[in-house]
Amino acid sequence: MERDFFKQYIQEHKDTFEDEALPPNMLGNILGNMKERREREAQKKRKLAYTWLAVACSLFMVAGAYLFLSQETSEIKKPGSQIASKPKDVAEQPSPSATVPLPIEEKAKVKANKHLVTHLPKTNPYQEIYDGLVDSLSVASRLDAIIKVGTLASLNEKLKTDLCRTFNEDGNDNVRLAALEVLSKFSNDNYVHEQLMAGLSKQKDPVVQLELIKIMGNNGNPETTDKLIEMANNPFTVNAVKEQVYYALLTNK
Amino acid sequence: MVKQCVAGEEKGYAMLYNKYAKRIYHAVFRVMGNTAESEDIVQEAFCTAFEQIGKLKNQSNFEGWIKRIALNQAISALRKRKMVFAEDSHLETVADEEVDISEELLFQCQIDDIKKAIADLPDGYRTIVTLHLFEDIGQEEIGKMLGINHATVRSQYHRAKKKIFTTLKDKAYYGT
Repeated sequence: MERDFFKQYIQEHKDTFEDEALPPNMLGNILGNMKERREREAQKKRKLAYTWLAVACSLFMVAGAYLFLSQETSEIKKPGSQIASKPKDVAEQPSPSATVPLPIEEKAKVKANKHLVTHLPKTNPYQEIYDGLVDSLSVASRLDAIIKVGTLASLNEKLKTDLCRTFNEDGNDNVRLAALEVLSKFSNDNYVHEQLMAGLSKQKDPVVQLELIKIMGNNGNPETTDKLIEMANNPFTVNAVKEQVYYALLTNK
Repeated sequence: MVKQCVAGEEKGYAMLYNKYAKRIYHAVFRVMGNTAESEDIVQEAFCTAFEQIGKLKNQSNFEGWIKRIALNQAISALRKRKMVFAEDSHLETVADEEVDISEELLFQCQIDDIKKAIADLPDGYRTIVTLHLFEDIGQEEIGKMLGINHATVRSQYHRAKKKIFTTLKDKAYYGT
């Protein structure tokens, strides 16, 4: 191979060719750059992690919403659910049409329906009324429940107790008045009669008192007479009520 | 030192830098021909080397490894300047008559004159000359680095050398 004395000369004097000093602060810049890069890298990783976290949260929320909605739909479709069972219809008294003999096909349908009903979970037909009577947050609910009770032909023990409690203890005059109106329909019942009698002493609202005297005033019961006299003698009884008491006492048989 | 760098100790970085930075800087400077760009390339090369030092298999060859990183970056920078390492047909024709220089005349020359003669070469010639003369890289490998034929590297090297000799002879003749 050809001898390259120029290259040899350069290699021998290489250090002489490199006599210039390095630019200042290069090491500082290098270390600074490295630190900056590391921070940028960490930031990038953090950003990526946050992005994945956000995506995971979104997916979780979507999945949650889907499960919630699908569960709700299946609840509505379930034949045994409260919405499907329509307690209103069940609570209704048997209609006169039920006594009319049905054609054979209709009978078969009714039989089939009965068969289905026996497999449904038992729900209390009066539950809605019970719930309405104790709904302390809504006067409308309580009034609605009382009106429903008014449509019934007879009262079971629990309904009687709950309605009397409403009559005696409800904070709203209109509710007590409505309860009184319904109870008056069943005043022949001993328990209801007792409660109405007790109401003569307990009720303080003049409107309720007037209505109660109208209902109880003419029954000729000596105990009622005593209560009425007591009311007439009570200095806190308003004049209008007293007048109604006098009228009742005078017309009492 | 390399182990200290792998462990992320700043002391290791500083020691490696102090040992090799000057040689790397001059190698890059000879290719680039200006200080600002050379400084940036050296900084970038050291950053890359320190960050990837764990990948270095032969720890005793740190200098060769980082020099190769720096030179590759320098060549990339030259390419970004739209400089093309062209094949022979695209280059200016240099008179092929023998321009030789005796060893005595070469020894009479000042180092600064040789430096200037090399620095005044066109970018393509200067790159080939510095890689071959100073970094002792074979012509075939230079061809691979620059993406040209090794025969082109050889002919361009000879032409560059002739240019340098002509400059040095003129200098000796006119005594400027």
